[in-house]
Amino acid sequence: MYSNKIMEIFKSPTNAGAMRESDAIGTVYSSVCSDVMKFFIVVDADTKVITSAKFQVFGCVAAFAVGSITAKMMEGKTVDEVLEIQGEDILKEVGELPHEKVYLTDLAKQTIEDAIADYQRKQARLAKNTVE
Amino acid sequence: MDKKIYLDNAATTMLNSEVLAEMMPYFNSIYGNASSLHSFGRDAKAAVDLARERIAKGIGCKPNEIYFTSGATEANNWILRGVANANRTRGNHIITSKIEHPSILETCADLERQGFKVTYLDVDSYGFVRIDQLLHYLSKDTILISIMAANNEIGTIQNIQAIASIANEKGIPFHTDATQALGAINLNVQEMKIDAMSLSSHKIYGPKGVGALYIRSGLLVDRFMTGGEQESGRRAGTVNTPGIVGFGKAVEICTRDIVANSKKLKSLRDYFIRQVQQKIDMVYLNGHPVQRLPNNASLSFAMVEGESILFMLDMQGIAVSTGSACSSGSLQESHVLKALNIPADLIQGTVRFSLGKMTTKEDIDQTVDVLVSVIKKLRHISPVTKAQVGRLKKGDK
Repeated sequence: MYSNKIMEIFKSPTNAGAMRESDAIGTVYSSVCSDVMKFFIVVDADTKVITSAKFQVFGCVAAFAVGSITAKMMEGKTVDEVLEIQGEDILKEVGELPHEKVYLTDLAKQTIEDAIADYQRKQARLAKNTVE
Repeated sequence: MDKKIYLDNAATTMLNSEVLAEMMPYFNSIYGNASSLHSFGRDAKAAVDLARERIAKGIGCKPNEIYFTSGATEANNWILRGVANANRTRGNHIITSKIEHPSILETCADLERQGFKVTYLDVDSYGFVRIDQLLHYLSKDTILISIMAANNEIGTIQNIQAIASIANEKGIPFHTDATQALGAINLNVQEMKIDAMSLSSHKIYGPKGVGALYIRSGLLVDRFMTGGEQESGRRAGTVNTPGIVGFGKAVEICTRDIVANSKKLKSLRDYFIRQVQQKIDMVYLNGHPVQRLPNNASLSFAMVEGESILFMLDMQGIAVSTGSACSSGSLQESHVLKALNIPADLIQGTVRFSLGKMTTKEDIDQTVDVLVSVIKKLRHISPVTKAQVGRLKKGDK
């Protein structure tokens, strides 16, 4: 059912678990099934590069793989660059995915967007406080 | 890795060695077609007849009321379509429940497309069919009531005798899918007033690909397969002699050992549930705590997903099945757990452990140990909090 790559990631996922101190968090509840995906990101204040990203998932083996791969993909990219990541890009990295699980790549994309929106909200609040 | 542990006996069981020994000569020694007139055929027919007698004895009916099929799915298809088509002039209404096996539900849906009306009864939180609804929906057009004896996912054993009595009083044929119940509870079709019953061999340590339909003499049911006079002309096709021989032997053994096996399984199963609930928090047992199949433990683990549990256990050599649908190639939630009104996130976190004759206390202890670490690991990676358990909804923000 799942490719060896997906099973290997499931066995030892990278970037897994909650982050104690992050700059932003994105959480999306899937509208397709009951899966939940969550990303934590640390952003370099000067360069806007995501220096660290972790994921949490309530979902199937494929959701783990997508979460892990997407978190890894986010690292090293700027806030603007991660918004360019599309579902197809994630799918390309994951490789083979059962067709009924492809929606997970969109779930990951939405979770990136949610994390970045959270980051931008926090930045705006910070800027406002600094001005005041 | 320690030895492999198989806790998916509700999916299928290992072939009993006594059963295998009885089957062996019918592959390459007594290989005649049971319909042939010569001695090769007569020897095969004698074996099929003996199997039929054994199964009839096991469920308390006459041998000529047993019809061999390829399994319970075929038996379920046959009884529904056969009764529906044979009784079109009498009525067009069938009553079943929402927690039946797909071979009942999908066949009913097919019959609905052909113009029949089907009522799907609700179940209560334990999975018992709502008898009040059965009484409410019975009508002069009802031609069949089909309710499974015990549920494959949650293990709840229905009050079959009560349902059969209602059907009997109203003069409506009653069918039960006894796939999971055979060998687990006593089934006597005469005493229980059952008119038709589906049986499967591979759930009781018999071979795969063989089952039977019991049809009470006189019940109006159309034949299922055409093209030969096998099975009294009602189910054409060369009979599967080795399979039938094995099935007959498996029924003989499981009905003979039913008390001892059930006692042993119940004791191990209850020990397993106690251990899991003591060592892991927020685990919920599905189905009725007592009136359930002796080998079934359907457990919902909060904050984690069933398929992930399944694969992590599998990596440690432990085989179970999941109540969530993710691993079945569909994203639909289990219709059984949904009918019990279990919240979506707990449905996702449901795993079915089904013990077997070979399961030992050591197997259970090892499974519990592995399970504790698996759940801990998965909860560490889960974004769901305790406060959210039972409340998660699709598309929530």
